[in-house]
Amino acid sequence: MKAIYQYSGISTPIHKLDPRTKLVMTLCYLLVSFILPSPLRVGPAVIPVPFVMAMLIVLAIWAVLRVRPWDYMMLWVYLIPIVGGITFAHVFFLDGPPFARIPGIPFHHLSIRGFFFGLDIGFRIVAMGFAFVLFSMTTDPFHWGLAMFKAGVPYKGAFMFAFGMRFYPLLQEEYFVIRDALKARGSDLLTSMNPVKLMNGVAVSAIPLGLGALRRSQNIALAMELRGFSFPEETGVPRVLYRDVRMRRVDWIVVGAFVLMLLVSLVLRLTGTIQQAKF
Amino acid sequence: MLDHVSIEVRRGEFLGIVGPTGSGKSTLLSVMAGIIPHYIHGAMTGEVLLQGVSTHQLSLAGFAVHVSMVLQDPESQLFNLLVRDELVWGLENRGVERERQTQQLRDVLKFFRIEKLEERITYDLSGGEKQRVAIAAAYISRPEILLLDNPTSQLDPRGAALAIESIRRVLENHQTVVMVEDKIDELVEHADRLLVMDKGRIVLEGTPLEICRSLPELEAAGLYAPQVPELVARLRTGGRTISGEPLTVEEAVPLFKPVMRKERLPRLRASDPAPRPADGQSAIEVKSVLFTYPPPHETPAIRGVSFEVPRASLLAIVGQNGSGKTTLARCMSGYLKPTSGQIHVSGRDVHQITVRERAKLIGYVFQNPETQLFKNSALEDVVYGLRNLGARKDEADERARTSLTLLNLWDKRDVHPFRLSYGDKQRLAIATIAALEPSALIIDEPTTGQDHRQAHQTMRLLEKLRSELGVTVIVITHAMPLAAEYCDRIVVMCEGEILLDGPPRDVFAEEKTLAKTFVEPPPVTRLAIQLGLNPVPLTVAEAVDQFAPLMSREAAS
Repeated sequence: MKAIYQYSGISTPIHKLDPRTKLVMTLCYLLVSFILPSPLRVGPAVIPVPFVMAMLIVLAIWAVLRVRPWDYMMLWVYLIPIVGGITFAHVFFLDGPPFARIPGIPFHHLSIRGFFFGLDIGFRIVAMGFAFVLFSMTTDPFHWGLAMFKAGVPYKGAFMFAFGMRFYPLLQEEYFVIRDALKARGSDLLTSMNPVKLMNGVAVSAIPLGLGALRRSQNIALAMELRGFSFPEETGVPRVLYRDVRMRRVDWIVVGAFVLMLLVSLVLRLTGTIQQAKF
Repeated sequence: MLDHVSIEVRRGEFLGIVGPTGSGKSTLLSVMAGIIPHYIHGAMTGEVLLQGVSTHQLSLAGFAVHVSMVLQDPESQLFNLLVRDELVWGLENRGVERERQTQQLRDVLKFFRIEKLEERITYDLSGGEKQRVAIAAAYISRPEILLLDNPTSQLDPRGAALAIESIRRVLENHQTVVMVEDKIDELVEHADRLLVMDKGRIVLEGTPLEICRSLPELEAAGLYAPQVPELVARLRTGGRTISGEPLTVEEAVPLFKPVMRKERLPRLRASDPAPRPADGQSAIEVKSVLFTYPPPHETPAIRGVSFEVPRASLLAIVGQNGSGKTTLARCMSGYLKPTSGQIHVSGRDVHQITVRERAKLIGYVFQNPETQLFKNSALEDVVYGLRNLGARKDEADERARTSLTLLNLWDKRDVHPFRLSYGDKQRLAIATIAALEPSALIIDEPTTGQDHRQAHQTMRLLEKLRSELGVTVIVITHAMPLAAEYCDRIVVMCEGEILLDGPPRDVFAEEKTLAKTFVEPPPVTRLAIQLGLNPVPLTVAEAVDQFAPLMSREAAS
């Protein structure tokens, strides 16, 4: 079973873009979510900007990759307490007009500004997470490594980075087997919601997972050497890459559009054309 | 690991190296590939010459120009995302110009008939496809020597057939091939010469025919001869004369046909009735189970499967990879919840009970033993599960002792599990689950990576669990001769459905239906089918009993 972040291997216009284009797109998009004030008043409407931007990525994942939001339910399960915790903290620790007073407790100022601010930060984190998912699902990690190599990263470093992305799913698969093997021995350590038990489970599984990964990485390193991974360094014969990454016209257009979007948001924010909704 | 080994491999020769686990055959291959001494270090004396040049004078990269090697585990030798990138990767490293890379890529795709795989993602390929790509990636630079280390050992029948087909293609080009195998059967058909290794030494050397004639020496080295030559040898010992020296079923049929007299067909049981539980209860009941993997794939893996497993039976589930065997087993053990349908173990719905209750009812031993050993000694590992289920320390120690003794591991109780041999690790994994005394036990590929002797030992232990402790044992396996010999029932799966279900003799008689799943009956069974015999034998001993009366001494001679 594929993990949510794994390269999908289908062909869409986003898949065909250069990895550097997608990186610029992602960074611009995330910066805009930070620059635009939130909640944003547009006419009579009040828009929670980071929430909307995070949901737009969810829709993009659905539309482009045909992966529905409920297909990655577990990711939501992990995100909800993070967003809730951040919001909860800001309700107490940020000044502002209180929306409730509870006599007798020290935190009597529950801040409505803190509530929205906390939600915004929470959803910016969600947007970052989903943007990474969209990026990794539409970008061949070796294409990405190639782009890094072109940007000056040494070949072995760039290749190992890409290979790491390819290797991670294997580790994850092994982790699932270990989890089930523990269940077969009557232990629910790796499925428990109790953090202490979970940590204990991680410690128990470290032996098979660590040794397995070590053995596998040794085998892979050997297999790489047998295919001449160190040949260029040992012989001085330069490596000739079969694939190439090149910024096409469409890449420049997309980069231009996203940079423009970033600049427009910046100008709107700095000139005060758009403002945060008053509480 | 190697003890005064001297051999010479001739140009264009196909040399097969066989031997039991730990006999030193993979080490010998590593020496030939330059892995020793350039990658793995140790005390090495003597010399290895590659076309007259000492390997000490070459680097590992220098070796890669002349020698390519395919390793056992296909997963560990594919490191690119796309098949195309995987194939050209070795050429990129050697600085081959791009135009030549394109040409060689086209050639190798065509040569191995894998054009359709070019744009596929490597981790989405089946085991056989992966190994095929690994062989193609090793072959793309047209090495002078191709070394293969157990290339089919981790593959299903279809995967092994694909890999063998690729090796055949290489042989057509008259290249030097050296192939290591645990089992001799794969090699007798293709190799020019065989080496048999044991305890780091070469104990036999000769053509496949010469090796197959040396049955006692093979047995002494812990190997079993291929079934057909063994059958011929045993019939000859019994006074029957067979002209020729058949090594395979195809070679044996024309030699046996003229000397068989069917009117004297001996009586074998038409079918072996599956054992019924004494109390009328089944150990496992699978009712209309359907399982579909979640999106984005939404692949239906099990399509409405129903069957019952009687208590104290030994059942094999067979079929090629992707046929739904493991998914079904995981549903039965409660790890996967069926999309619809029910599974009862000892009368209880396996998905309505806690993890602990389930562990007491049904055990599951995974294919790779290393993912299920957690403690610092074999004894501690067995005790661990028992303590999880609430056993007192003295009780846990006692049950652990019984389980380790049953699986011949008591002497190794203080050894760290990861220091045990692969076969011992596999048996320890079984011991950790058997100690919990579940009423049913599912074991995924219990004999993978084991030589013949170890594989038979493991199967005998499972048989012991069934007969002495009354445990219902289900094995998922590709080893048909073992399933035929030890199991009382075989379920054949294909595309998520049960294609055949019954006693081995009945199932293997359905050769045409079996062909859809690439499951091949044992060679002696196939021989009997092709000779038109019914019922068919399952083992060499049964075949001797059946064939001998059909062959009169004078007619045969």
